[in-house]
Amino acid sequence: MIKKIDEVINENVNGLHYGRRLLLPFVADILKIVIDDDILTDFNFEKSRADYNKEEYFTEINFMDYDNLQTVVSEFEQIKMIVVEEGENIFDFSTHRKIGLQVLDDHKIIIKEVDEDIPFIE
Amino acid sequence: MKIIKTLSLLLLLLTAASLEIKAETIPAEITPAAVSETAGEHELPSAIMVLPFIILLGMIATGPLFYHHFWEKNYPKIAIVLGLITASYYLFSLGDTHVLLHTGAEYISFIALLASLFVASGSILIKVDKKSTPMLNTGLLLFGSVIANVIGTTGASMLLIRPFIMINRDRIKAYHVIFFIFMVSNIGGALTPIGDPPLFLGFLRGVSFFWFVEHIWYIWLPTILLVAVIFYFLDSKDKSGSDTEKEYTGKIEIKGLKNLFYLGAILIAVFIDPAVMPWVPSLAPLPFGIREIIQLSIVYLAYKTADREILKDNEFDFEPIKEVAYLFVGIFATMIPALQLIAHEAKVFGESLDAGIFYWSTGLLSGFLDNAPTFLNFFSAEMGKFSLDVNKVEDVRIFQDLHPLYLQAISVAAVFFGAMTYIGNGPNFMVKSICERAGIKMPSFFAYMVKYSIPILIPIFTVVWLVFYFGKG
Repeated sequence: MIKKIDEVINENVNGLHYGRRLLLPFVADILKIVIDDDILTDFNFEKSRADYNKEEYFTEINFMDYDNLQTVVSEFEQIKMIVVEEGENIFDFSTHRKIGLQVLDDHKIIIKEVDEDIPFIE
Repeated sequence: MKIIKTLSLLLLLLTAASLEIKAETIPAEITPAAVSETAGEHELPSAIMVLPFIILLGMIATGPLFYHHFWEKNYPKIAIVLGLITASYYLFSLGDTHVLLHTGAEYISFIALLASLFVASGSILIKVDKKSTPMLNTGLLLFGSVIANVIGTTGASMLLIRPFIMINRDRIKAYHVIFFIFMVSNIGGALTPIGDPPLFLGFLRGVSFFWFVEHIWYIWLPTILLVAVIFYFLDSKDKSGSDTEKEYTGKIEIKGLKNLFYLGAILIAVFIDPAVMPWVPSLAPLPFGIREIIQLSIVYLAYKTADREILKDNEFDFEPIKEVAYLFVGIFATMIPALQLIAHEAKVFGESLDAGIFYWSTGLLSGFLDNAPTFLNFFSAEMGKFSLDVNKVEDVRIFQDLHPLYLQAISVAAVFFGAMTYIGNGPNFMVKSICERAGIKMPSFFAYMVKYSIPILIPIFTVVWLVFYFGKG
């Protein structure tokens, strides 16, 4: 069943990670990802360093530069991204959500809105 | 924890190397200055041995741009392999273990100070809930430039870069960060030996603590104000983000204050050196002293006792210091031949070199080499010009009193020109890394120079030269 981003955050629905692959339990367009000190904005091109696919119930991201996401992001860090929910107007800045992902053991991803105190520039 | 393993390995290697040296050949204190002491006693390296250093600099400049994936994965190996090539040359071809030991001591001293300031300040959270204005930004940069003289350029950079980003979150551009690097991470710290490593090395050789502020303030003040005015002008022209309707409380909140104790301990440790306090035992032949032990202990303690919530808010990660540790282990090792050749040339031509030439030589090389050993080599060459010995405290005192212009020229140049590139000074790279983690697109190595440091700093540094050193000395 498709879930909205708000539902995922409020209900603490987790995402998944397998090696370099990340699965988010909502469908969204991704505008920017910050992982480690990499800022990724090019997706779905042959030579891009990450690509994402919107599936029926989830969004899948593959990071080409990393073999295992868990070794890249420390316990105090997050993968941060700007996403726009499927169906929203991507050109309206108020629809841009700042999402932070914590990479945990057992393939689990915790999804939260990025805390206001954390520097993250769109 | 890889960094701790790396440091442990490095310590072991250096300790093993040091044990091969006969005790009577080791200077009573192991300080980076001794690099220049020993340089003259040994065969000069072949000029071709500068190649690993040039390759490393070239790769630091081009890697993130043209072969990012390869560079990200392999930069630690590249830095270590290139460093080992130089180390092997000195070990097996020149049979010179002294210079390796002293460079190792210098590296440990460098990384112990940087790592301890990085961890201690990384557990302090400063929140400034004020609207970003050119005046506030300029004030913060000036404040950072002043406190850089109290907690070092590294401490000031780590403490203030996150609040600086947060204040400007709706309008931050690369130029904000670049001016932060110019002022807080470099030029600001020119007034005290704590401010920047070259001055600290001068202090260890015998220059009075307050000599720097007394002889540099009148160059520091107009320079820092000029850079601040340029920043204010640029920031005033940038109207982006000014239409935000957010309300601000004007509050400034500081969390993790207990870490100020650690910062204080790191700074006190800076003076715990046999050259400053004769009662402090030297740990020779080990390539580190009590100071480094205290600072590395603080790395461990500050991290273990840190508030986890603050670490999360600061997104604390060892990666930036790890990057500096790896790259600089390569830089320190591969730059040995370059520094020795420079020192030799400076001594040969010392008679014909005036204060202006010392200013430009020290400055331009400090932008690309580490500024601390560069400073020392030119310090040694300058004193040699007046038949004085950099290794004698009484000679250093005579030199600082009779030829202040020369010492001032290299002190100013070593600190100011550190802002010319990302690798000119330790904090530059860390600030860049923290900003990239915050999603701020930073200019490449070349773009930093072409767009910012050359057009902004070189004219200012030229004015400094014209006013203070042209045709003098």
